[in-house]
Amino acid sequence: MRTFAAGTLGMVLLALAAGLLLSWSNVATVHRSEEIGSVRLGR
Amino acid sequence: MTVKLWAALAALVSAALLAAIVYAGLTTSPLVRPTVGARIEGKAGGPPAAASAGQVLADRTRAQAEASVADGVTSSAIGSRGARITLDAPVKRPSETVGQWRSEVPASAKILQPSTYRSGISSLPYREADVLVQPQGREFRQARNEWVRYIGGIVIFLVCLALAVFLLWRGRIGAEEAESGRTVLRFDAFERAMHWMTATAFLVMALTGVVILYGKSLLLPLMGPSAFSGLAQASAWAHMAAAAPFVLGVLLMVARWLPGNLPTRADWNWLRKFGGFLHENSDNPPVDRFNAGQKLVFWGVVLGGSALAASGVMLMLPFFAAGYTGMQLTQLLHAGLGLAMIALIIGHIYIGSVGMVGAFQAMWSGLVDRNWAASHHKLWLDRLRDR
Repeated sequence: MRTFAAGTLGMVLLALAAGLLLSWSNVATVHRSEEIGSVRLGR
Repeated sequence: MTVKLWAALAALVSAALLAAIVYAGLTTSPLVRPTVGARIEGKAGGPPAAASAGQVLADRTRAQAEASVADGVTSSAIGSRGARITLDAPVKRPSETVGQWRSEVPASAKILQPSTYRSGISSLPYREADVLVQPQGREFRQARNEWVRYIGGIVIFLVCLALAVFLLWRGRIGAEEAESGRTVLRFDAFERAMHWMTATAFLVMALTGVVILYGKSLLLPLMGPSAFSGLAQASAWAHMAAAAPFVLGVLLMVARWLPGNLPTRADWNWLRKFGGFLHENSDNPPVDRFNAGQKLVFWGVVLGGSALAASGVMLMLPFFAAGYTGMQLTQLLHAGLGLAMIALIIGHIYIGSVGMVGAFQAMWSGLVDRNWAASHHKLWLDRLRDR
């Protein structure tokens, strides 16, 4: 029971740290639509 | 007896779910479901016999463009060559309409735009922005939304059904002798905590992954767009965040359990006899700390987990290391492997809990009875005694 709790707590803490890192570094943000640019049709 | 009753119930539920997903897979239509139905009839009442595929499509497109499409509207137009075109909105049976459309044109007819890859010039500041048309997206969408989803679901429910039938037939696997009352430590506290950290991380990723892959077709109609978008976004973030403890857990498992999981000659013998699991009195080959089945799970988690982690990083950094084709293949690989891992872990959870008496205690308290160890891991127990 105690090792299960320890493992789950470790999982939650690590996931929180990873989530914060991801959101802070903007790495996983795929909302590229905010970027401005232009596209020209060509062949 | 109660176990067999539960097993029968689980078998029935698994069989029903399996049948449902097979039926859904067989009746799915690869085309987009139409909202406006156009039926073409020639003068004699049937489809125009000599009409070319392109002509039929052009007639229908023109009729749809001309008709005012409101709910409940039925209007007719006369297409070229005297064919009558009837429009219905909304379509009562979209799949039937699609089937009818397809029967009107020869199977070999190319009614979709030819597959041409087109690139242009873009000033958007990221890779692949200059790709304007990538026709293999159609095949990718079909592979992801149909092949991976249906085959993955079928494999998972097949595993559930097989396990339920096995439990019904064999019951719980016990030890050869009754409990001695003396215990021996099988997994120390570090190993247990490491196992549960990896296990809970996997569970989070499995559930959120299922939401990502199946949510749009299964949950969105039930929850509505606003609730589902929140769930989907949270799932995507939780999926990426839980990858960190999962990868750390797998690395720790490699460091700790690799020596005990190297294949040996005895493994082949164990696999051939299926570990003596099939019958109560069948030969149970003596094994060391891990049997061949456990080794297969270990290598499945290590190799599958590594491939999932690598492909997952590529999905987190779109177009960083791959173009469109690479990203599409990575998605298919990640989804397919993830579903295969879920099937593998369902088997692991089964044998570690309901399937074998005493197995769960080994990972919960770390302690197993000496007679249990003598039954299932004799060589390991002998080594412990010698020490």
